[in-house]
Amino acid sequence: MKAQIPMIETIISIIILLIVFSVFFPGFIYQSKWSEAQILLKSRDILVTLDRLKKIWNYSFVEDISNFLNTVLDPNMLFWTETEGTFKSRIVVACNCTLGQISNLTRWIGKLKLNGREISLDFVQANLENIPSSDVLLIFGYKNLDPYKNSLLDYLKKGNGIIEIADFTSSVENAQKEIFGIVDSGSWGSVDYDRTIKPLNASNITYQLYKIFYHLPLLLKSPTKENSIPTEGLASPTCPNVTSGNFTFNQTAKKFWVCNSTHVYFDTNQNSLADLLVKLNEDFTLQGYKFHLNYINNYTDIGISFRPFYNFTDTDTFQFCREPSKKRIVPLNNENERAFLYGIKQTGWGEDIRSFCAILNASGKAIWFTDPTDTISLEDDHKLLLASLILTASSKKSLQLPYASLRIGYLTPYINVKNEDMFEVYKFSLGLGYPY
Amino acid sequence: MKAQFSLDYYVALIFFVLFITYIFFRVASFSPLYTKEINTQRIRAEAFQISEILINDVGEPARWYQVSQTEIKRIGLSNESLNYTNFLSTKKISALNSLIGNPCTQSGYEKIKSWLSIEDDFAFTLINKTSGTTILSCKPQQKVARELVVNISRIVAFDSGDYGILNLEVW
Repeated sequence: MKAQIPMIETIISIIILLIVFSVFFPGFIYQSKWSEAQILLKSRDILVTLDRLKKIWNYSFVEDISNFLNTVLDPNMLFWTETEGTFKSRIVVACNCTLGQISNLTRWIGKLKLNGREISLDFVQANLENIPSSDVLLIFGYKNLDPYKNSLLDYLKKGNGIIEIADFTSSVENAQKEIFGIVDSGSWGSVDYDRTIKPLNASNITYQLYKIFYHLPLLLKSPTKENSIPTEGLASPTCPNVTSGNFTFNQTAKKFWVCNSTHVYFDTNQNSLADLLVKLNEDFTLQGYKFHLNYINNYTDIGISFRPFYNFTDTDTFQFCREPSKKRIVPLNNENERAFLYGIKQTGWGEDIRSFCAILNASGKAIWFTDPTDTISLEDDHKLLLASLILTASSKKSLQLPYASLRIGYLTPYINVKNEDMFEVYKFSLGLGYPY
Repeated sequence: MKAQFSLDYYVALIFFVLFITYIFFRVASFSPLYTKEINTQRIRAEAFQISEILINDVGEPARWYQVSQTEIKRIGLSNESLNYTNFLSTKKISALNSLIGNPCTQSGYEKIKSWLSIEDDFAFTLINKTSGTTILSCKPQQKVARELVVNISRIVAFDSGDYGILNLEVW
């Protein structure tokens, strides 16, 4: 028994020693991270090279980057791109509306063009119980949102936006208050016109909407073929082809004729004779308001953007921003800086705000907009406002990671800007990795 | 009897010898691997630095293509007017081509080695990916056994509007 005890002690000691050895002298692993460094270096090189070639914008929104990357990357390297901070080129609008409304919306604002790239608004019909994957939810017409409050808040949390186009005949419910930050209050009173209010600075919640409204070109179709352009006070132009269309705002329709890729003629006094020549990228004035001719697209349409300050017409017979029989809606807690469009009454001692037509919530991603479609047929200024609302609220992040698993993968961000029609700042990220 | 060692002593001695032997062999097995990795890291760092000088440095003087060869202290292919990163001057590439040849001669290789102050051997090719042509190529003429080779690829833009890739090997 005496000999057994030292043997047991010896065995225990050996086991302890082996464990201690393995802890203090682990297996040799040398990790230089060279392959990771090469991926990061390659990503940076590619982004800088694309910037030098002035191609980042194109590869962000217009062209497929695969052709370029396949020439400079190893065949077994995987890649993907993401953009964040600006509108996607295809914005999916989940529309809680009728098929007729979808048809109208698609015709009015289904195709936009900004900074040289096309933006398509794809409207898909949606119900509020199960909102499909989309960038913005458009609720067209009044609905009690209390039963859907949680799903709508979840939808907002994902970075998407919600727009409600509705008038209220009864009090604003809790869901509306919480989501849009609105409440009903008082009476309307008559107004003279509706004005967009200039935000005090870029951090104001309405700044994005203001910026978009005053820069986004609205595409006006020129569907009618004409033989010539009748003019008054202008020399008769020689045009290879002529097409015409109408620009409607403030209860007037201004006829325009497309002469060629740089010249458009306008009839400013509704006598069917052209009396104003506007060249591409020129500012011009119609009915006291400033506009800018951004695009002339191959005789099919022209792109016109509004310039500050524009007042929408709102009269007793043409009620865009007010509807006396409905409830007056104001921002919750009197946060008037969240309102983008006001109905103004001109008084002898200044201006009196009587109504609110577009109110953003505190994050700017949920917007309530009065429903003008029940009293008027929308004109081009209203369509531009509607498109601006949708762009403002839409999700600004496109995630295109197509690979479920990567052994190594790095995402390299790059800040890019574009300033043709509107100053756009966004993050373009290039992801590179190896699957094994 | 007193001079005899106990069983405990022998067991402890054996443990000690085993421990020392274990440590010795572990260190002996690590050593070549460490030495190789240290050398590889040094060459990797050098390869990166050479590629940086070639694509992101304007050289000394900046317009070295306008002076005689003896006045050139360092070459760099970056466009000296704009001084952007990864933006190469086609004028400098053509000048280097005429100085060293394409592919370069042995004397051209030695010139580059001295202009870049490189101790290790190297080879590089600069390919215009837009046109698919090799616009610069240089490697030593003599055949050498290469145990450690580090490759690095840099993607660049040319001031002509094309883009390309610099493949560099250092050993």
